[in-house]
Order: sequence, then C-alpha cells, then structure tokens
Amino acid sequence: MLSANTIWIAFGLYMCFLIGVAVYVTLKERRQKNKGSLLTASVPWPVLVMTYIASLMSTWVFFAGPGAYYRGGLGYWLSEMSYIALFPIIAHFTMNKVWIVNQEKGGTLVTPADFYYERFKSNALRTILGIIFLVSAVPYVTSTLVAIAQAAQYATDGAINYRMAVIVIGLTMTVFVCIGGMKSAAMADTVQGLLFIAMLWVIVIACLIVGFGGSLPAAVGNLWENTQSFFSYPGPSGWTPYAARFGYPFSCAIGWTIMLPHVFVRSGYFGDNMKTQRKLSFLTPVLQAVVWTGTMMIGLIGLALVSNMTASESELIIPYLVKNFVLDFSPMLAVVLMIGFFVGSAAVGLSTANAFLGVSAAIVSSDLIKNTFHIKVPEKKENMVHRVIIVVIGLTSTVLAINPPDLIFTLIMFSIAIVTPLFAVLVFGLYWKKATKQAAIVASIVGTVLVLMTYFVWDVGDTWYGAFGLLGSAVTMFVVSLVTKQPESDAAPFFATLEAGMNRFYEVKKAKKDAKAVEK
Amino acid sequence: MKVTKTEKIWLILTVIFYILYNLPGVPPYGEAIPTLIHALLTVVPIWIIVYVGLVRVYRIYKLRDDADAPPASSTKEG
Repeated sequence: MLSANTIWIAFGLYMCFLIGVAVYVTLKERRQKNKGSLLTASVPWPVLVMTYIASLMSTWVFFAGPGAYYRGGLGYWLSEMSYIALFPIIAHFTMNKVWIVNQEKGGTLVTPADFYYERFKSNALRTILGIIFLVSAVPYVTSTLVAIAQAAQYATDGAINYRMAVIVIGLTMTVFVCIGGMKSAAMADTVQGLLFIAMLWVIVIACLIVGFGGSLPAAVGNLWENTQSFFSYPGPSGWTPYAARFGYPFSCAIGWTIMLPHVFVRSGYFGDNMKTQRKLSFLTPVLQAVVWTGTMMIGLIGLALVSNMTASESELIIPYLVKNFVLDFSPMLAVVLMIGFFVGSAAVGLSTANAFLGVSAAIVSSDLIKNTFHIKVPEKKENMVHRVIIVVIGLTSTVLAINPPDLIFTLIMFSIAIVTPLFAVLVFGLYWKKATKQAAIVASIVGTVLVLMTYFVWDVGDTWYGAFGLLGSAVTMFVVSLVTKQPESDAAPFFATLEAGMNRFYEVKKAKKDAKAVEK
Repeated sequence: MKVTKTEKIWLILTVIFYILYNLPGVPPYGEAIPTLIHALLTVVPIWIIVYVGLVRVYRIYKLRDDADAPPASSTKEG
C-alpha cells in the first residue's frame, strides 16, 4: 500500500528524532558536568511514568494486542484489567522499598541482581540471577526487531526487504542507546509515548467512523447480534478459559510489570524522589487501562467488521482494516494511518528494545564482568566498555533477528514466566529476616526449572506461564530457609538500611501512631 | 518489616476480590450477561479497593517535608 520510499522517509525522520534526543541529553549532561554511567538514570515523574508505560506497550499494542482481543474477546480484556489494577499495591509492598534501599545506597544499584545481593550477600546468587535476567532480555530485543521489520514489509506489500529493515532498525537502536544511554531512552519515551497513545486512539476512531459511522453502540450491537461469544468466556476463539484467565494476568502482574529487568530498574531505581514513585503507582494503571482499552476497541471493531480472520491475519488487524476498509473510504487517511501504524509499532517496539538493551549491558557489565569474573575496569574507561557491550548485544540481537530461530516467540513468552519465580525471593527477602542465601539460590533454580517444565514437559506454558514456578520458589524459599542458616550479620545491614530509608522518607512515628489509631 | 493494619486490610481485600474474580466456573462459559455482572462485582471492586487503599496508606505513610529534596545520586545520572 505504501511505497518503500514513504516508509524509509518516515523512519528516517523518526531516527533523526531519536538521535536528536540522544545528542540533546548527552550535551545537557556535559553542560551540567554530570559524569554518570550510561546505564543508570534518575528522572522526574513525567519521564518515569511515560518510559514505564512505553516499555510495557512494546509492539504488543499495535501487533499482537488487537489480534489477542479479536480472539479472546471481552473476557481477555477483563482479565487484563484485573491485573493492571494490582500495580500500586505490588509496587507499595515491594518496589518502593527497593527504591528506598537504592536511595540509601546513593543510587548505586544498577541491575536487579544488585538488590538481591544487598539482601543476601551472595555472589553465586547474583551470578545466577544475572544469567536469568539476561536470558529474559535478549530474546525480547530480537523479537522487537522481527516485529518492526515485518510491519515495514506488510505496510509496503513486500517492497521493503525484511533483512534490510532489520539491519537499519537494529543499527538505529544500537547507536541511539550507545550515544545517549538509559536517560535518552527514557526521554524519548516521554515525547513519543503520548504521541503514540494518541495515534492508537486515532486508529480506533477512524476504524469506527469507517465501519460504523462513528457509532460505538452500532459496533457493539453488531457483535451482540452476530458474535455474542465476544462478551463471554472463553471468547470467540476459546482463548480465555478459566485457567488462562488466572495464569496469564497473574504472570503479567508480577513477571511483566515488575520482574522483567527493564521494568524492575524503572520501577525500583529510576525515580528521582518518593513523590515520583507514588505518581508512578497512581498513574500507571490509569494510563495502561487507556492504552489497553484502545487496543481492545480495535479487536472489537475488527471482529464486528470481519469475523473469519485466521490467527496470523488477526495479528495484523490494524493494517488489514486500513487496507480493506479505510482505503476505500479515504486514501489519504489510509496512508496517514498506515504510516502511523508503522512508525507507532517501530517507536513503541524500539522503546522496549532500547530499555532491554540498556539493562542487558548493565547485567553483563556489573553482574558478570565486574562481580562474577572480578575484572576491574578503570572508572575513566567504564562508559567506553558499556558502549562496547551495548554494540555487541545490539549486533547479536540484530543478527539473530535476520534469521530468527523457530523458538524465538516461545522464548519471548517465557521471558515473562522465567523471571516470575524471582518475585518470591524478593518478597521473602524484604519481609522475612530468616530467609537465607542458600534458600534464595535453591528457590531461584527450582523456580526456573519449574517454568521450563511448565513449557517443555507439561506443555501448559501458554496457560500457566510462571505460576507453578512462583509457587515452587515460594515453597522452596520457606522450607530451605528453615533448614539452613546464614549469619545474621549478613542481612542486618540491609534491614538497617531499609529502616533508615523508611525513616528518611516517611514520618514513621506518625505512621505508627496512625496505625494504632486504626487498630483501635 | 512491619506492616500496618490498614495495609493488611488493603492486601487481604484485594486478594479476596482477585480470588472471587478467578473462581473457576463463574461466570458460566458462553453467557454474556453473567460475564458483565461478574465483572461489575469483581473487577470494578478490585480497582476501587486498590485506589481507596492507596490513598489511605499514603495518608499513614506521610512523606517527610524534605522528601522532594534531590537524592545524593542526582549528580550521577546517566
């Protein structure tokens, strides 16, 4: 539908925007004489909220999401709403405490495993967690490049070569993170996040106007008459049975929105003060609901217009609707929407890929090179080493995306699952002083093995994701902590730090007083 | 790590309604109206409980006046 030139120009403009942000952030840092790491950031609340949302949106919002609602129906959306609401409570009990400890440590924590080390003082645990987090990150970067290149190919009816698209996008991503680091990725997310949330809703409204004269009740009425299964479990394609209604959102609530390494560092390390952390908790579910509802609306309208799409066709429902409905209605609008679809997919996809690339480099640099192999890098050369690591991981992901392995999409799905069991280690570490490093190591391994068995032995990964792994790691954490011992002196500094941080940021005495009043 | 009574109630209510939402067999498969009623009675309360609880917990854990002060790490930004 679009010419290859149109797509390249659109992408070129977007690339200029990204490089501009990276250069701006770098120059600003130099002017302020900040000599920080490329791999950390401390940002105000608008940047934190938008970079967090953009990281969650990924290519899912424009690609798999609408197709998932097409097949899963309203029940699938309800299951998503059930976990999206949980973020503030999970963040309050875990990530805000992670943030407090990081602040007390002077903002020196870089990777998720750094936090676990602070609590359990085990280098073996840090190495194991570093590997698990890295394994969860790399497939995501590759999959994002695959999805964006496929979007370019589809939008131009094959005029753009898939491999060329992967190489250009992969290099753009690598150069962008190399120049600007984590902070420029966060800044770019802030600008583009709102723009592409708006673009998503423009696509919704355009499809509604073209298909049903702008009347949502007409679209809903059509579905109610012809495909009432949309409004009930397990959905039009039987995608949301009771087990998946629990297993999928539960893993998302923990694995996707908290434990994946790129969101762990955002919700636990990036906030510049506690008010920023609170705004993140307060606003994230609302914004997520707005975006996810827009995605659901596209699935709803698509199903009301075409009820016999195959699963793979429904993955590309946005360009399908543009090509088959909007084009006849207004060719100009169709071109605008198709460009919006491609650049939107590329932008939100690159947001996630940039975030993963940054945190992957941090894991290799901190967890593996520095703390596992004990290679000391001079302070002056740290950023150069970080850039080399970013280039290596970026190019590796690009090469993988050129000929993606068959398992790539399975790997992505269990990226979420494989980090879910580590949540039990985090919670026990925060709330139980008797939790030991031996338990943390065994629980991490048992949880990971159970997730692998869920996928490759029991073949129920698409229903239960990381649920069995989390249960297994929680039980293991409890039992092994009871039968093993770790010197109290190992955990004491951690709890002292947390206590000091709580006193620094909260009026703890008043809190206790109020708590007593509540109890009375 | 001490947890206040308000936090406990907040957590327990959220878990209860999350379990109620996920009760197997409810609503029956293929029933649109019960699905909508079930959502109104479970998903909507989860949102209300989370946000009402959030406000109450924040009232208990008041931020110190200097909570907005830049952390020591602000000079180390990347």
